[in-house]
Amino acid sequence: MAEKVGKPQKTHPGARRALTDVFPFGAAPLVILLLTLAAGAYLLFHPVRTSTADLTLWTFAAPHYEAYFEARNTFLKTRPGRSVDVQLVHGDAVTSRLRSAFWANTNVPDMVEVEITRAGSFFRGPAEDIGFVDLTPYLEKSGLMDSIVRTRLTPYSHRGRIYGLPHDVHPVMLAYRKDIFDELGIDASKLTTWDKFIEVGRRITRREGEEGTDAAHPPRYMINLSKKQAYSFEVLLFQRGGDYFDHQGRLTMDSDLALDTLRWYTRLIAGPQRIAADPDMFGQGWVTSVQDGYCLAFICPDWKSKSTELQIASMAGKMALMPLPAFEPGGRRTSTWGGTMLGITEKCPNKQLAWEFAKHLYFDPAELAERFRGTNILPPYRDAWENPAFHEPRPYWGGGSLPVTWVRTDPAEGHPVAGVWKAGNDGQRAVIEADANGLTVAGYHADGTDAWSGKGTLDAHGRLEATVFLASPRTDARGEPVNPLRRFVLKLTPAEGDKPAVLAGQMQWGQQLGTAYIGLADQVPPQHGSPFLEFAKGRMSKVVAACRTYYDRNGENGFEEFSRARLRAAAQEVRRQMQRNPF
Amino acid sequence: MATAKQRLRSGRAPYLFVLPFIVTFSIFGLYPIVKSLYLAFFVTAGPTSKTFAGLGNFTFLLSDPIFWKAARNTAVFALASVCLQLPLSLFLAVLLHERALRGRNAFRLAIFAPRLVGMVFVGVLFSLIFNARNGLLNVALEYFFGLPRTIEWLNQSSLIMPALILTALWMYVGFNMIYFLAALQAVDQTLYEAAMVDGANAWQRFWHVTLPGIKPVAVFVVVLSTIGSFQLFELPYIMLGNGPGPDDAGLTIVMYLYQNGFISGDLGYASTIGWTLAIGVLLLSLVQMRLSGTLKRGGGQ
Repeated sequence: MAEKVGKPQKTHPGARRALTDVFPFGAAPLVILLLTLAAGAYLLFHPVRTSTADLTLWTFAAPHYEAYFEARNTFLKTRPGRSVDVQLVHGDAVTSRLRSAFWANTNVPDMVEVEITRAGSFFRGPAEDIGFVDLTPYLEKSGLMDSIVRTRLTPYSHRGRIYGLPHDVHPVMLAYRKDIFDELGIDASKLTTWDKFIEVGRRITRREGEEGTDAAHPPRYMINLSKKQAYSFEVLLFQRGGDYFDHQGRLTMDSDLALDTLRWYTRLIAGPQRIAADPDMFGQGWVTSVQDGYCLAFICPDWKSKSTELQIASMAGKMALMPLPAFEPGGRRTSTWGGTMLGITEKCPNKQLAWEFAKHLYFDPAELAERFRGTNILPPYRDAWENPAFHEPRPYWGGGSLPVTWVRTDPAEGHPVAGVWKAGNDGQRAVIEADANGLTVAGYHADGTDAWSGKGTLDAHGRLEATVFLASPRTDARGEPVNPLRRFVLKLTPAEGDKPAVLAGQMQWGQQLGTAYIGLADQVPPQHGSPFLEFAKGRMSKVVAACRTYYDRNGENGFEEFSRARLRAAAQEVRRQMQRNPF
Repeated sequence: MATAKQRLRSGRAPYLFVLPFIVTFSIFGLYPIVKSLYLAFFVTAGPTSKTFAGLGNFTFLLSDPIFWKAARNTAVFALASVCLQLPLSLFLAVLLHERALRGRNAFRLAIFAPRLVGMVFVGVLFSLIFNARNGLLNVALEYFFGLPRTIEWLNQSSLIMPALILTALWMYVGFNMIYFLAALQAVDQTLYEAAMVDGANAWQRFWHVTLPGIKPVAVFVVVLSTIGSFQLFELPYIMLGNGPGPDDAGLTIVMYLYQNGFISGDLGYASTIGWTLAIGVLLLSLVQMRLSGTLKRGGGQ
């Protein structure tokens, strides 16, 4: 066979013959063999790089990953010679890879962030086999216990031990199209109960195929609620005080409260009186439903408010947040959706260092303030909430921003920004005074009357931030002040030669998003973890979808019976699984 | 010299060549297979905990309504794959085998091309196409037939399976067509000539010459598609948002296996599901080959 190959034979007949004597299978197999040997040799001398860092942390959320990268650097500044490796791993991969790592007892990261629904599945089996460190003694020793929102420890606790630090509080509000609400004359502050909300919803909803819905009057729904999955249903169940499991891990998903909430929810999403559509809560479907005004409101936990700002940027200024309507007057105005824990694995050789890094990530007020601006996620550490970053007006939410340029006309001695500034074309002036507590900033109209005043800071990079209140804010139809708060973010260009100093940047106003979520944090209901939580959620999704289909077809006819039977059957499936578990 | 060559050819060398495969297969194939069979008899949880359950997992599985739902869904999908996909593939192959067809290479490429896209991309793409409000399909149905854009392909349990089957059809028709095309090209031309001399019409030539000629390949494609269909996982997983969809309408056996093994952390039960699937597919393939007579001729060609 080899002899048939043309050219080489002509040029080096002797060499070829010698080769085929040693290797009689022909040229092609030889090439393959050589390639294999070369590749093998390469791999042998370039082994997969394994992390040699003192700590390895896995996180599944891209915003966390970016934030932790910075936080790691500040952490390492005070610990020379130490190293930390932060790795971004997909949410599903965290679960499966971590499970495999625990099984094989190899490549286990030192620290892992796990999503709330999945966390419980790692607390299965005998307590001594659980792969996470019991953090209870660490928390007690550090004195942090009293500053943490206690309900957030619940999902990560099992059999009296705390296996994870809570990353967040995740209070829930309703985000709504403020411009359309205003146009329709809906006053969000009056929608204090779900009854009132539904009443308005019935009035303004235009369903597909209904009289009055046409090209000029496209379909429109009051709220976006899932018809196929349980994630919006459970938010409302939690709001009423229901849950999938109780504190002892017993299944409660078929309680009377859950059944009642299920029926109430089905009537919102199905039948001729429905006020909810399901264009999806994520991705393209969700974005267009907000932009087109297809759904006027959606359930918005703190983390979702950031995805809204980023993914639906075109709606800046047109959106606003309101607390959830209560189930009864004076009742709970929030709920909770999602969560993340940080755990330290038993395999970690530097547990004390890991604990210090965990504290730095989760309980360092300066870190948390900066991260809140980037993620809108409210940390469960109360001491951090006093930072001004948590109370800034956010232009996206019912606000806006204007460019600002101030030119200094009368500098004060010895301070880069103190003095009198010409603040605008209309003759406004700004006066900045510096003292030991920081900066006092005040604005005056051309006639000398007060325009606004407040406090500010100037950092080492010449960035001036000030939060001020208007002296005479505009009022709305009800006489309530509208956006009395302003925030200046200005960059200083110092005086040079005859050029005066200039502060240029933006003035922003809008809802105080952080303040709003903080106001609801204490009402956030607990969620109980369980190894069977994800399974139970899957079963509940099935019930929600089935009830919706039934109600669309049959209305009230036999619905009470059907919904009870379906919920019972789903709970039975979960109990069957739980009974199989011998641990 | 010649004898030395001969000795090498018939001696140890071939074993040396297959050795890398044997080694890697033993580590990454055989060991997991044996281990999973072992695990199928345990209830497992957590990193190291397992308790012997005997046939407990298997008896639980037999009475597990969710497993049966998954099995039913998978069977429906497999049946549709074989009954819709393969005739269509064969039809396209016959069409594109025709020499008179202009630009047939371009057609072949166009029809085969979807297979070049990864399954996950196809899943993402079709979840957008099936979107109720803005999806291409509903927009087209509205444009051509005036239907309201309310058909919730991926939200309505009765529509999920058709949506999955359509997607798989788009992806695999061209792939199977290539097998048939290759088979068609291998059919002996003299048989056609003989048939024509005997006065056979086009249909008779197809029925009595083409079909028997491509039968071994057809059986191979049927068995392969059936096995492939029973392994369905990524498509529904991506299209239905990392889950089985309403009423478990998109739950497949492998997805249920994944949920049990890697989400709930019960590798024992997941192994049981895996072995049940493997045995089921094996039996099904045997039946298919027996029915088509391939086994009698010694394992096909």
